[in-house]
Amino acid sequence: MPNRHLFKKTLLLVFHFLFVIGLTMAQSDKTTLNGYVRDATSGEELIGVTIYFPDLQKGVVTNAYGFYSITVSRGTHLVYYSYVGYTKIEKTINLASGTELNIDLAPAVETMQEIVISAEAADANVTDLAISTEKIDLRALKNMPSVFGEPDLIKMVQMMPGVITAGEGTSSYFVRGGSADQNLILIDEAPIYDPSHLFGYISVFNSDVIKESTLYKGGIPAQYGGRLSSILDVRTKDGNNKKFGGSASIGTLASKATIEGPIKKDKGSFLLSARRSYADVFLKMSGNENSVYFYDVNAKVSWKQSNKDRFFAAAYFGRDAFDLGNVFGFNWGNATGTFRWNHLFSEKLFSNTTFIASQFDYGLELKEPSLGFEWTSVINELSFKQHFNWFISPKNELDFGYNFIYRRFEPANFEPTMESSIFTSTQLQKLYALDHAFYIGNKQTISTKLSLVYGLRLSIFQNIGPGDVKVYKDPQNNIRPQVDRVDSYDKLESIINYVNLEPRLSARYLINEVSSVKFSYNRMVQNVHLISSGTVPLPFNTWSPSSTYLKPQIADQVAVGYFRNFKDNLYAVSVESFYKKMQNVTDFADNADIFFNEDLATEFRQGDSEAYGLEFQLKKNRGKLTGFINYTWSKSTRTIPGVNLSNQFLSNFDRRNVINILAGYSLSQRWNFSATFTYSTGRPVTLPTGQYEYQFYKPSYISERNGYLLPAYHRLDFSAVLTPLKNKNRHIQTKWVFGIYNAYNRNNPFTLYARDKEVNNASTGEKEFVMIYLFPIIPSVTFNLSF
Amino acid sequence: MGKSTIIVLAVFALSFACEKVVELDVQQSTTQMVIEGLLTDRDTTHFVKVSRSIQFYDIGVNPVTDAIISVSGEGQTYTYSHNPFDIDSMKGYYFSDVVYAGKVGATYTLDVEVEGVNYSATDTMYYVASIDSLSIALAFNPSKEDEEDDKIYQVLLYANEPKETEDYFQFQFYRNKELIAYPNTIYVFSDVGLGPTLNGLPSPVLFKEGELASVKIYSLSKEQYLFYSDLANLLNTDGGMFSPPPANPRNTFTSGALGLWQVSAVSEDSILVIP
Repeated sequence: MPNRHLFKKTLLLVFHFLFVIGLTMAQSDKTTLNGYVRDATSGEELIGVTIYFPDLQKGVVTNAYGFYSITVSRGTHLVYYSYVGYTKIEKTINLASGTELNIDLAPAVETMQEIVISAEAADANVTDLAISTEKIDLRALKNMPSVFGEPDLIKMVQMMPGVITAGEGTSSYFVRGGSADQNLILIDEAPIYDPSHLFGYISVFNSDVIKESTLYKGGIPAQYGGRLSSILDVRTKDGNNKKFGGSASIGTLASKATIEGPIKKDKGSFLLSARRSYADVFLKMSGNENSVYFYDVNAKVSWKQSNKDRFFAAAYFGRDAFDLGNVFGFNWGNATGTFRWNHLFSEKLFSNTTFIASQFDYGLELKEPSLGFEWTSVINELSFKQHFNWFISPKNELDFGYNFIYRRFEPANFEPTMESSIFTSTQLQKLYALDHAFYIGNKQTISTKLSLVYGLRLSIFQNIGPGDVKVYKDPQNNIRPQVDRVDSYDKLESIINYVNLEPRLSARYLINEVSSVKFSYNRMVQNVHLISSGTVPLPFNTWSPSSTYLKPQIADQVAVGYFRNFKDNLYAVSVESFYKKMQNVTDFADNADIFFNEDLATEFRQGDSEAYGLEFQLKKNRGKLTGFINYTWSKSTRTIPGVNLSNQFLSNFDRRNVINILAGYSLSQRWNFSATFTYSTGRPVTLPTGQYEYQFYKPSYISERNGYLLPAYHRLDFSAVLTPLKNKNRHIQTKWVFGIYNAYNRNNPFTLYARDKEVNNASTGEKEFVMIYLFPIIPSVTFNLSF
Repeated sequence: MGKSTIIVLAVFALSFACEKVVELDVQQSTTQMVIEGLLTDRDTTHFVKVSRSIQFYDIGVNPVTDAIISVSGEGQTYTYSHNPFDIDSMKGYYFSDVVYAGKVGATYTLDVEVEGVNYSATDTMYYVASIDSLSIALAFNPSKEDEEDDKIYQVLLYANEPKETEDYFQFQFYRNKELIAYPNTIYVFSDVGLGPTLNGLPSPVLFKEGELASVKIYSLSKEQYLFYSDLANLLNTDGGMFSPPPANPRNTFTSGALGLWQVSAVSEDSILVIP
């Protein structure tokens, strides 16, 4: 039982840590410096700023809310505040007693063509404790080529090492052998259940409002949980609290506008951003009765009463709507709301209290006299999070808290739309779940070389009533499910509970100033399951909580990495290797009916999954030429009793070799160029090996799940950004982005399947394979302005 | 119904797409026994067709001519003989030696023995909703330009359908007594979520003025219904991108035979398309 062993070790660490706290409390010749670090022009708090005392060799970084606190000996000290892309501040301060110091960092004036691509400390690659963590570079994102010229966060995520895509035109991604539903996507701490617009051609994230975004693939801190494979934590801007401003852009696919400004200078600010596609306008103008559009709105208000109390309210709404000939319509959307209160209980104890509401829903409608129906499905989530960040000493920084989530799943409401409809009104039973998580994690500096982050998360999950649970004679009999009895549960009554302990550990050992090794182990538990048996989830897939028939999914992952910087942090190299073992991954029986099935439980098949791989990254951080080369070798398999004759098979999203290259070149102040190249081994597909005749049909004979690979995927894109020089003397700044997608016009496989060969609409009796490919070469132009 | 919705969606998502026929180097598959047997409540000779699957790129059928076939039910056993009139196109077809009719509510077992291996399937004949009447309605013509000359019509079906039982049906449509057969289309129907009457259910196929339109309804057991809905998924798979990975349809045969033992009561009606 290696897991139990690890668990014991983790407990030992916790005791060790409690002992350290005891020691720290005993010291009193010390005092604390704390405050917020902000951008001097916009007043936005900066995440990850280094505060360093060179004479004491002690330092700290600002947390996710821009707050820092560090306890040092009384006296006069030199202190640095440094953040890449900003002018470093050096201050000599006399710390006699606890001191509050807010710092405004001014953005560095870009020296001629000196572009710095990452928003983190120059040597973060080596010195950061984080392993398997990717900070998404927003500046590179805005210049990066994209399919319709719309910068898309998820497309950048899909280029990171260890991340695999199902193909172009989808917003789903697969992290280290995990499926698409194993990624938790957070916007201002609220979960997004489906991040796609237009079936995934672009994602729900409007790049203009993103302040910071991090992808955790491993070494996941204890405060995060709920999904097996990754956390994508997206934080939006608070809005400029110094002056009014705005921006707008007109693109091929969508246009967007943002305004922001102070409600009260330096205290309160707002931000409002909206984006809408307008293909439907052209369709209408051309007399087409079909209509397709999406929109999203991000809004945020913040009020910084004092360093002690700060309030934030953020909302996101987005929707896609399709209407085909006024007969068939469908739509889906996410809505989230976050209310946050940051409070300082003391100069060392930072508290973040969050209330979160999130909803995802979809609807389908057919307008027809006898077959007319309307189908809707909704997931609601309400959550409360109390997080504490305790800056005990420069050597120990403690995170602990509690997270409560209430979820309600309405899998399907089915209503006839007309009196004459042959349908009757039908509902699938609603499902309810409560999640409690208690977590504690400590970041500990053992020596100048060795640092640790370790923690524990206790996940208590309850599937609750009201509801009926069918007790099946054989829960796997999906042909004629036989119900022994039905157990009824009252409101809030517990149906089944699952308790899991999730240890987390990461360690960094500095070999020297330019290289380090890192290690991490984490266990993750997931209690929501996507009901989808395809490779790419559709917005029309529902989710189910863990239940009598769905056990929690569990993943154990270890990762080790070597990190090395060259030439004064000009180049950053990392090599990571991971091994991930997953239990109870959710799959479905062959031929499962997952759409309107009162006995859905009989279609569930859970089993094991295994993934391992090697990831390589080379980044160039400064200079005229910046960018990265990411290479991943990985393998992911599943073994599910009852699927593929219970034999092991390749996961739908297994791609052995993946290369992603991004290069940005700054030619002059006017012209910036970017290019991306991506290559990946084809993904596995299930193809027939034979055929037969039944009546006049020619069915394929399937012998094995995922027995073939699609042809390899590769693509080259370019973009050029023109910033007119006359901008300098104007209040309004303009920018043109020109793009070419799929420059050498490759027919990249999207999917492949067998069909009857036809000549002039008549079957020839033969079969053939047909490959579907999406985008040919696509040029795009986007015009941006900001003021 | 959910499945057809998803097909519509997949089709939409793929509508931005182009397609290309590709040649693949597929593995040789081991041949599988394929059995197609139909027993109805009509007093007639019934048939069973036996063949083997062929390789993906091969053409034609691989009939089995030396099977031993019998159907038993209601205390009777009926034997079948291979291609009694020795017609070339009927190779692999076995016909009952006597004329007989299945009974609603009775259970029938098909036994097929080939080279010492027994393939057996058992199913029950269910009640079929009887058609009250048919009527004609003008249908929306998707190609509008020839609206005036080329009016097209749907057949509307009226029937009573008992709500208290879970029933499954297969529809077949005939134009001038000829089966309308599309290689990817199967019309099966479950009454889950339906009201007690089918009031003007429109036919999914269209007719022109002067044609004789006929509708046949076959009753299905749940197993038979699942076979057809699985078959429809297989014939319409997108390769597992949005749809589930393709899989062989489920049936009730032992020893892993493909195909179906279908035991159905039949009701039918016809209407001449005159507006």
